[in-house]
Amino acid sequence: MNLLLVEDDPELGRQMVGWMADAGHELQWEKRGKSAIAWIKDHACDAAILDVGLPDMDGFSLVEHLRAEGLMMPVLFLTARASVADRVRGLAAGGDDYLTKPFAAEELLARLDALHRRATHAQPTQRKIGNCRLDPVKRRIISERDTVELQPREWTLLEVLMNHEGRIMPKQFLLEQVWDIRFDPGTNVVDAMICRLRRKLEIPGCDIHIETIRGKGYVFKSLA
Amino acid sequence: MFLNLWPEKLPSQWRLSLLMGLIVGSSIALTIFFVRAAVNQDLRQADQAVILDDLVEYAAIYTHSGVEGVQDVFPVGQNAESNGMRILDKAGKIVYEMIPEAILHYPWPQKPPIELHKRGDTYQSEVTLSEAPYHLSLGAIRLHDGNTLWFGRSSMQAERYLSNIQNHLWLAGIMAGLVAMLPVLWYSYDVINPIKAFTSSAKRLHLPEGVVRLIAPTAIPELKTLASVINAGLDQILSLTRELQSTNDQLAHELRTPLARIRGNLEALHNHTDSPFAEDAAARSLEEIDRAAQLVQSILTIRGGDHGALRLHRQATPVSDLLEKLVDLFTPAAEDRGLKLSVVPGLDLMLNVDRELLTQAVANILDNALAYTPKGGAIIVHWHAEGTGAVICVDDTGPGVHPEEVHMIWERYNRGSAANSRHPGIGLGLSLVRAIATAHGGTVGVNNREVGGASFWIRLPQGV
Repeated sequence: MNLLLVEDDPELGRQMVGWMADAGHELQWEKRGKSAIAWIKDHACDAAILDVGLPDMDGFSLVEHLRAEGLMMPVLFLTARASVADRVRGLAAGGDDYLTKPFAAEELLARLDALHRRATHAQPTQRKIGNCRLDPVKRRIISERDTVELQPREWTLLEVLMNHEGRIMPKQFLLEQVWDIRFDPGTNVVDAMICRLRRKLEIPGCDIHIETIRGKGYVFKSLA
Repeated sequence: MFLNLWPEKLPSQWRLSLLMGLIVGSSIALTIFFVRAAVNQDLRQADQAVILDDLVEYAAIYTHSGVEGVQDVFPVGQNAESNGMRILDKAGKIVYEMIPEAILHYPWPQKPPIELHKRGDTYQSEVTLSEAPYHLSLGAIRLHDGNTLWFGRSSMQAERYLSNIQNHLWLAGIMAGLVAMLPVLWYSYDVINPIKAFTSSAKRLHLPEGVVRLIAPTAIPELKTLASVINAGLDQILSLTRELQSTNDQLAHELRTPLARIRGNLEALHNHTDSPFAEDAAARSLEEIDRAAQLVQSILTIRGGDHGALRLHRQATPVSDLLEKLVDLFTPAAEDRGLKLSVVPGLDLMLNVDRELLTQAVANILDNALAYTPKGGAIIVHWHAEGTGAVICVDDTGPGVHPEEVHMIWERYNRGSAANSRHPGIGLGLSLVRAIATAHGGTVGVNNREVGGASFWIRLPQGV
């Protein structure tokens, strides 16, 4: 993806340049709103990451400006403010997603990925994983020897994990995608759900693994 | 008994009207009573004087012109209805009589009174009849020829005067009563209406905008002063609230930005180190950073909620939907702990609340319940309507709350005695619940259930 980052904090900017390079994205880093507007006139961009608090203008005005110019790429806000009111304001201004600092690199990548998929109407969830066939209507996994039925949330969780196969999915991202929850509920609810899903997926011939990476999140892998 | 006639809910205007009516009414009644008594006496004396005058006058006419003279003069000079005359000779025979019908039924004397001895002697008396409204004043004079002239006058005329005076007094009383309502009107417009306006403004004071002020342009000066003093206080609260909001934002920014930088660097270390020790250390630190960020958020939310500086994003939210989703979220974790988590289906209630914050509040109570309920226990979420709002309850089969700690557990950094090292935390969860409920104009509480365990509840108004 070609990405635009508008962030005035030099340390965060530097880190994000590194992450995006590791993930294989092209990233243009601008430190001011004005310079970002100037850059975007002559360049194509798949998604923009905007800091809300910029020295010359706030991120909300910047996205309003971009939308007024007819630029419709997905916009993700970075902010130190976590209140719902701020998030609503960001979305009302024309933003598509909202990430509160501090955040995990994987969280940012996963969200950008999700935004990009939404914007490009990417392929629907695949119907086959490993040696198993998936039945999204009846929420079943059918292997040669066995059939497993999943609960609605379990299915949604599996879908989110599959859509980001091989990527680390932070707990917070899964909470938001599967349960629409943007805070840490304390109890290890995601862990418990992942364990349950793992147990259900332990069917012969279905080489699906969900790995836990300490301090980071979960990775979905299909070995077949 | 008087207090029963003065119910507490009776509006002040009505009380004042009643009081004014009572004052005016009793003044009029007293005035009429005394005026009647005084005028009555005067009229009686006047009647007697008139009778004496007439006796002397008719005696003079009789002396001069005999019965014929009296016959000629009497019908002309007297009020035909209320005055009568009878002339008796010494034997008591009626020589001449002129008594109108209206006073004929009184017992007119058949004989001269014994008090009259010589010519010109007079005598006066009064006759009352129980069935007649008026009394008859009588006078007698001994004429020059030894005959007696009785002259009678009924009090009809006097009573007419009296009732005329009384009618005018009543009229004056009604006018005075109307004038007495002027203070009631004034009181109603300048005192009661402003107070009502104040009350309706004050009812909206809890709204997060905090811009409600007491306004009453027609109020009496004292109330205007009260309003301006309260408004000044409210202005101060609003400016403090705004300051708290902006320092909260500032604090969030100041704390989160360095946390974000540290986190980024830790991730780089985690991803690029070859040492498993360094990787483990980085992973642990990442978890700590996330906890710290969550802590900052909780503290700021509590600070804002407790001081009315929390910005709420209210949405119409079905209670059942919110609770069922939460129970759905916690069920796998509860089952892992050997607990039965369930929600009792209830009424379809819509509340206008900040969905995310309320979800977080209930999640914190559930988190608490999962931590303290021993294996094999049950946690039941239920709700019911109360007024236009709702009460959300989470019942558990845990150790319950020590009665002395029922209020303490909601305070920041306080953990109940049931807390132990198995359940890490610094005791912000329940104070966050309280702050969120307070920000919504609601309350929180906990009861120990009779069957054992605790029941935590959040009471929320409908919301505007």
